[in-house]
Amino acid sequence: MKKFRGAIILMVALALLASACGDDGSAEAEADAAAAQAAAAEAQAAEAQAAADAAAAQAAEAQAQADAAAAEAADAQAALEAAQADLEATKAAAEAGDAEAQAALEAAEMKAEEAAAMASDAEMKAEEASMMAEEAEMALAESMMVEAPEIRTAEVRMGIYPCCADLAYWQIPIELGWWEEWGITITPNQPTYHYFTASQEIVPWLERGDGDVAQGWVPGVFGTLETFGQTIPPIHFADIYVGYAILVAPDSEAKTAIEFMDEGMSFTEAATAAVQQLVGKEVHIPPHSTTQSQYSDAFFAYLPQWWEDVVEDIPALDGEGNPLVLLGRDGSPVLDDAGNAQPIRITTNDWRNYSTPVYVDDPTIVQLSAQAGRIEFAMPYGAPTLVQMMRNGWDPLINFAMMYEHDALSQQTAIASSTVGGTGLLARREWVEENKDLAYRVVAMANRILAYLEDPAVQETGWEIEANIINEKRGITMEPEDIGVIWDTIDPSFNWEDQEALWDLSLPSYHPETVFRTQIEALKARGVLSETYDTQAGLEEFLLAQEIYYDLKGMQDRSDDLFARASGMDLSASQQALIDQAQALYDNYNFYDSLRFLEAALIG
Amino acid sequence: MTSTDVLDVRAKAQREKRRRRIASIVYIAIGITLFFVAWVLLSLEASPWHYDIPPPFGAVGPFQDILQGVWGLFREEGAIAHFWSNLGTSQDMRIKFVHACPDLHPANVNNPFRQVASSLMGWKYTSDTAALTGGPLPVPIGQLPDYCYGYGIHLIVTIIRILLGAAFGTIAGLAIGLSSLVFPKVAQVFTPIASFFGTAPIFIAAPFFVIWFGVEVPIMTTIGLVTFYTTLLMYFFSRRAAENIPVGIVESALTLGGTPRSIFRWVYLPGTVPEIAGGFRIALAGAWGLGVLVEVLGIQVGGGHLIDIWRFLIGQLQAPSALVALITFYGVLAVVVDALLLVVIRYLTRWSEAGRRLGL
Repeated sequence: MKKFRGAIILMVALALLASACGDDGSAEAEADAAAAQAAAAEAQAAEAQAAADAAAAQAAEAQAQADAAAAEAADAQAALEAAQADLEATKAAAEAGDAEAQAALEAAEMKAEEAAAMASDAEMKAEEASMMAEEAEMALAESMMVEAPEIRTAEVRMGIYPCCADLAYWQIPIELGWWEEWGITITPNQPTYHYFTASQEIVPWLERGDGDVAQGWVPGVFGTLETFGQTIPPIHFADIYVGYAILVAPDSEAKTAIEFMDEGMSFTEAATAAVQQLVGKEVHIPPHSTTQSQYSDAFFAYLPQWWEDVVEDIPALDGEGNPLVLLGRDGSPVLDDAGNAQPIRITTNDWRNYSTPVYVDDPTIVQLSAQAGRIEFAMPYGAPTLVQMMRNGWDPLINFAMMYEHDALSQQTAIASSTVGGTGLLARREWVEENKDLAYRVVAMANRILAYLEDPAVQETGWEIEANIINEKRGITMEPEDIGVIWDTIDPSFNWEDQEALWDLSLPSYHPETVFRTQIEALKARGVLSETYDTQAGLEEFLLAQEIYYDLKGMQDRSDDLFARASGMDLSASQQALIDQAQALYDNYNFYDSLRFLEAALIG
Repeated sequence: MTSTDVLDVRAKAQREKRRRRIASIVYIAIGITLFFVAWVLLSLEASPWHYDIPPPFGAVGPFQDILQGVWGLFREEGAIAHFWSNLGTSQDMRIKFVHACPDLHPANVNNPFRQVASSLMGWKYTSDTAALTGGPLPVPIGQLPDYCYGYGIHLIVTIIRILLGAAFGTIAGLAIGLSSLVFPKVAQVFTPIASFFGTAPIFIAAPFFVIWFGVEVPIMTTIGLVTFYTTLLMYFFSRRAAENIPVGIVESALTLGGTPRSIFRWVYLPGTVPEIAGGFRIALAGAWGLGVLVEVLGIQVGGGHLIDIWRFLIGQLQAPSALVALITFYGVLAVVVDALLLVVIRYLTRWSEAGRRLGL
């Protein structure tokens, strides 16, 4: 109780502090509301505790009375037994004919009668005390009876574009009935999602207000940050896509970087030779690459002329405005020959200065690639397209995996790492603000699915569900194992445990904040966003996922505290039931409801 | 008395004619006004399509712009202004490396006519071509002249493609349709084929043309598909036009000693023109949409290609303006070409009551 009271006082203090520091009315109102809520909670908790204390005291008193009465009854019984023994002895003496003894017998009989009366009286008192004790115990149990908080039933308008493993994974809770567990009904295509037929439908759908949440490509929103991008921020990051590859046709004479390595070249030489084959050639690539060309740039940066042609560098900075530098495997800066740290160089140079893009979307690339000799090089952006083409005999001329494996500390790999992106849950900010509980549950569901997909015991079921929906909606032939390969090698996911490093810049990981800053700067340099756009302020506002993560993390920590406290307590049956429910919710990453159940069980 | 009556009737007819013309102009003006009013309403901030549909006249307010004069249409960030500012050259397309100059030979990149012809033929000058011919290296696409990035050259290529396709299809359809009147075996062979393809939705064929002929040879895809579609339509229209000629006229010709050939020349050919002209208008109206659709599927030069690029960037600042502007352009183009066609057909069929009844 003291801990709880301390926490409440701390909350009140923080709320008061926030209200004192707030610069607008809404912040003050929020702080006041929080303070009032905390005070009410404190009062309620104190009241409940007082009631429990009173009941416990009453029970203890009744028990003491019962104990005293029982002791009195025992004494009386002992006295009765002694009197009876005395009586028996006196009887024996009287029978022997002693007049004195006869008188004593009479006296003893009287004493025995008195003792019997006393014993009977004491027994009655003991019974009464026992009844009182039982009543007090019932009162105590009643005061410790707790009720489960309500998980409100609600509708969430959600859409997915089931093209790829990192978007189709949302089909799993539909198939396994997980949404119903948490009282959520998916609309508007009840009982399943609104299925987009093209990726470009997602942003307008959310922006129009037709839906609340949709899984989408987060960097795809950056170009809209000056218009409506801030109204549909990400609330969760699911994965990072590292499957970028330039594929070469089976009938092409061009060699892959690996083939060049087999001939004895180092990886850098092999990559240069491989990319050199693309100069002046056509590369089939989807149209949205027109504003996301940085992935191909990482490959073309192996060309010696790339660095000679650089006209302008794009700032690649960390959160404090310091230039990002190449880091070694131990996290220390890689130094050049002069002993200086080497900044990561993102430039305005573009791969299309060396090769000719042919803009066709992924399905058309697959269709065209099916006919030998029609296209030679392709760079599909979708993992299923990539996997299917590789299954059809196309080889990666060069890809990110090769670079990470053979050339991890190079400028080219740094470009790749500092410009990649992934999918996340985009949500209407207005909806999130009005339905924070639903936002927490939807994010919890994302973490639950990603954990499910990593569990060797069940992941195959998840892969199968994903493959089925992708095949149905995209008309391709993915095997469940293909989905596993994609998650393992092309689309590594960020489960709940990974999320901490995602947002903590001191931990080694992919950091959206850093990577996105570079990408936004690149858009500014290319004229997609205006030069005056405030990248840092924009990013801070945009990354709602970070706020949601820390909210959930706080709830998890508080839940941990309450679980620890509960383990040392003597709990009633109803309390234990709530703790069990909280544990189940906690195990499924629903820390929001887990905390609510714990608080209901332990605090009232 | 009689002559006066005739003059009155003529004068009344003239007045009616003038009234109809004025009324048609008023109707067109009302239609255009309603179109823009609807557009402005859909683009208002309160509209759910606010970000998807840009205002037609710019950010300062449509009515203010109108009051400021026609030039107001071409300023600010409205769809019309976007179209106008990107017509000659487009910075948006330059930074996306989207161009309309397939002939990258250094001697040809500055020749727009050559680039249009190359786009129509599917000719490209690349490093492979240079290696094969021993020619100079192609110009990097980042260094092409400004006009290569403008909407104008894309749109011209599309217009020519569609008109060529419609022309080829009309010639082929009429040739087959009318010849089937003289040679019935042609009808026996061609009618089942045309009926089969005619029942299938024509837009379904578009992806197949892309798969069969690729995106590299637009003469076979865009022009080919429009030709195919127009041929089918014109075949049916020509057959139907001939069948609609009253039998009495043909019998009269026969009684006057007409032979099949002379009846074809003097009865069928002129008699079917008004109906065929009406059919051609319908075929051309469909051809605009079909031609652009094929370009959207992957052809690398043309207005449809611009739409394809912008639709993938729909969230970006300029994308709604670009899409609305391009789509509206094709709508306006179709109306304008149809109006011109109307004038030509009216002149050609001025002798025909049927032509007049078609609303020509």
